[in-house]
Amino acid sequence: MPLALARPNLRKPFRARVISEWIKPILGIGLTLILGAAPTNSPAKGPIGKPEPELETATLKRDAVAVANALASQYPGDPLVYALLGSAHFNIGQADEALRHLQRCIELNPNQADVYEIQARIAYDKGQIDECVRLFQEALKRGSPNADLLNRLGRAQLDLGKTEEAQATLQQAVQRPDAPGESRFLLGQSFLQAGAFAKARECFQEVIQQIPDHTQAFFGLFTACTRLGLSEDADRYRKEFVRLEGSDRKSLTDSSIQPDSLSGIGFVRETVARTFAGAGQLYRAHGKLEQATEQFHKAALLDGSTPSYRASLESLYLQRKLPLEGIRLFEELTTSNPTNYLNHLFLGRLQSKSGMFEPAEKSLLTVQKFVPGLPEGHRALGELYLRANRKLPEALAELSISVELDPSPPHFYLLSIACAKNKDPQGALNAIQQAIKLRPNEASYQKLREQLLQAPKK
Amino acid sequence: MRRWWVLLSLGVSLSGLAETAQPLAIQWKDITLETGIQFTHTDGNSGKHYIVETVASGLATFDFDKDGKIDILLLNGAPLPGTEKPGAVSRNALYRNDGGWKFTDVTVSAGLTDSAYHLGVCTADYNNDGHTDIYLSNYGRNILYKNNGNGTFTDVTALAGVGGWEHVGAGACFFDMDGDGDLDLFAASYVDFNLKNHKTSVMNGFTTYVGPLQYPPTANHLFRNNGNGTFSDVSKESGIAGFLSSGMGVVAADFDNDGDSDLLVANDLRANALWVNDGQGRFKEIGALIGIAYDPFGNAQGNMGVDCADWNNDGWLDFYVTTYQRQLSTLYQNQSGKYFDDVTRATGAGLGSFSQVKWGAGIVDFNNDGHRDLFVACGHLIDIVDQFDSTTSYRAKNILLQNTGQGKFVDVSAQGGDGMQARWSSRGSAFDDLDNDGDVDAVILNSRAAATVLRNDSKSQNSWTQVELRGTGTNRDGIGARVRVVTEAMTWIDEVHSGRSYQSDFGRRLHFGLGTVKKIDRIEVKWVGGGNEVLLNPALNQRILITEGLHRVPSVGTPIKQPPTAP
Repeated sequence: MPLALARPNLRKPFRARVISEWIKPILGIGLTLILGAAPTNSPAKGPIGKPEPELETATLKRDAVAVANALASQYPGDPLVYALLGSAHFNIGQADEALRHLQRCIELNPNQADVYEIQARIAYDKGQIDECVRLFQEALKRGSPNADLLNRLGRAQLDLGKTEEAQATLQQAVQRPDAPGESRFLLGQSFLQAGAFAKARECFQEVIQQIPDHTQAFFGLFTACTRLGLSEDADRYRKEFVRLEGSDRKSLTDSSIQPDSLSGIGFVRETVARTFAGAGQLYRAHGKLEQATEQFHKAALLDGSTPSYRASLESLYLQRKLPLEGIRLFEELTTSNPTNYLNHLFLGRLQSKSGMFEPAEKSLLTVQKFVPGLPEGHRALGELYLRANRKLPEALAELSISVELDPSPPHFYLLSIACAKNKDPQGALNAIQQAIKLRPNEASYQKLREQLLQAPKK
Repeated sequence: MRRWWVLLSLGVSLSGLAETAQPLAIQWKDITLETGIQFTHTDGNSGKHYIVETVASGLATFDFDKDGKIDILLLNGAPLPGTEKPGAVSRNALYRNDGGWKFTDVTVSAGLTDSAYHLGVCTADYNNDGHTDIYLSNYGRNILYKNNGNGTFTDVTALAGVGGWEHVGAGACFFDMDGDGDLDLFAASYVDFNLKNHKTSVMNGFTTYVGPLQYPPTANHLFRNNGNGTFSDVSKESGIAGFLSSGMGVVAADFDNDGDSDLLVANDLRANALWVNDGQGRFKEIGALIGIAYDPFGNAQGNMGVDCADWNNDGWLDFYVTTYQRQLSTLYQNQSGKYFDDVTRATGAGLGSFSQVKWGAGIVDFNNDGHRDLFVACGHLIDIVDQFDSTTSYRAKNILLQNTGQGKFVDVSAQGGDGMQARWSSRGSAFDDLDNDGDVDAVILNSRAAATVLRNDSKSQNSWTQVELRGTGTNRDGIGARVRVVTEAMTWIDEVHSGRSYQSDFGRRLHFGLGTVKKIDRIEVKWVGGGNEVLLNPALNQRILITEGLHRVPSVGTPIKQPPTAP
């Protein structure tokens, strides 16, 4: 998908201000459970019936700021509470107040690279593009570059007409392993604006190889080919652009007339949920597990589609050695929102870890009913069978599917165990070697491999 | 400091100086209180957040009584259902320019007292009787007022056949699409909104307006002048009706220098439309093909107003389009009529505009240095936006960008005098020489507030000329005629437009800043559907009336009055 900054503005200024998502890396909410591109088949529902959107929004925003303020009072020396406070204020449209808190964060920890990045993005929204560039460069000085940051810096430099600087930045971006197609698209734009049409064309062609429905890349190709005098190519690209643009516009229009879009409440719930989740992470970091659980619970209630909130709840209940309480909570969530597969998934996982085989199997089969192609669903069911040492052929089948869907190291690791339990040592060895190839330094993988090699051969 | 401008006009490169604002910059003085103009705009809001409130209104500056002084017509909204002031009277205001910066409200005596909800306006002498008429684009039905030539107007809409449909109006323009000597009429529509399909949205907890994508797009209208006071709706056969969008500002201009008038329509959150004219009044939409429909990234912007002029003096008309928040006002540079390059970022034409919603626009040489500057009227459309988004504001300062003459603009808003410091939620803007002193002044229509009149107090010693056209065989106002001012150092072009900026109209008298030139070699006029005219050696610093046919054999231009020496 194209960079959000390049998308048409829907006359919803708040739409671009998802600052809480930026706080994720700051607060280390980089949870291990990654569900990939799992579909969202169930929107979040409000915690208390159906209040008027205005009233609910006002309450949520007030709560978000109150939670952040409470943390600041309890931990005034922790720079991250000011980052959270900044994001909470920014999400209610108070950019200057947000900047004040973010500045406090930097005063306490001048090397907080992510906070410079947030400040830069606020400066961009305020139209202070020079300042935005300066802040992005500060972030780069203090932290490791990532493609997203470089893209945003490059875009800001382009907006300033500093085409050569933008090219240098974006060249850096495209060389990164995490570079999305967007980096190359922006590099193409920088060439286009510099009049280097052949180079621009090359970039855009690479983008559509990577992202075949990248609407704006087709526009770039049309423009570049027009300037290069390649009229047939230009016409072909223009037609494809028109087709994709029409399709994008229809999606945009369709989504913009949805009740939640008109009320804006879905967006508010998502952003406030991020603030609650950030607060949960901070409480957890300070050892306040009960408060952390409360915050993640609030986040999960508001946002039914972000897996990490439920994953945090699961791990907190396990850390607090209260899995049954966790199961009760997820049972409530599934009752209130029975079509949300995430609720069933985490309910099943907790039941599995608590030795409740039949309920866990039922929950996890429900997940597969809702989202048959979800690797995490197959993984969880396979893990359940392995853990219970029951239905081992089914475990092997489930974990084979999870590897097919998502060939990640943990999935290979679990497949290896399943193979071993199904008396397929060669299959087990092959699988663990795949896991090690992908993640060579993982001790548990090495250990399993050694065990498999030492196992007596029949 | 004069020396700097001299060097610039000679094409000497001073890259170090070029990018910094010079003290000899443009100065605006807000003299609204001195003028006697007491107009207050209403958008008719009743707290129900009808989308139509957000887009009101434009204005026109034109000489309605032919006394040589530019008058002002300010458009007004009207109470919408639910208003708490049911008895409130709101109407447009026509201010006669009495000279000396004094204006008199002559709305009632002129007969312009209708109570429609007015959005856009264009003026021109549609019936070639020597008097400038008014076309109002409204929420509801449009209105055509014929100027009776005695200070009064008559509503001739029904007779003329140009107001027979209900819509949310937008920009409009008179132009001679088929070169037959009378003016045809293009009227844009915004979106298919009515009280029954009205919607609101909630932004960050605040009930407010929805955007244009919430309503179906609409078709624009094109009327051919039958030459007898009536018009025929040719929207379908011309090709115009086949393109549905969300029209805002419009301007007719000969972008490809082929001698006929084409049309640019700025569309809100939809691709801009450039209609190329085959000279017979049949049009083909080529906006995307030619590079003016989108921003350089391929995004349809929230396009609002549009102005047209040759910003870089290369002999081709360029377009400047104002846009929504988090988008830059966009300068589309004409590449010899083949395509347009978005040079916003390369030139700085979007400076200061990103965080604001922009409306009226002018590509006008405000300091007579020979390089056209940019003026942008700003102000968010959501009246409570400050409560949930402090990166922007409902009331905002307008933007003034000075053309350095070296391919760049610099933001001189902060140094532009007290006229640039006020914060309003501006909409339409118009630029004309209101005091006949040889520089261009400004009038801004502010939503829900008084209008602003800005006197140009720039202390320029530069030369200028103003050209007014009088068609005889072609349309009487010379709408669409191309004027070239040729000097030894440089050639400037401009074209007469009716309808431009944000749903506004201005500039019937073409103004050319000439920098330090000491002599004009000639002024050439190419009439739409007519011949060419050449004036040799007209005097500097004069307003010149060129009447079609009188100068087919080169002759010395005749100033119609001796204006005061430029300050």
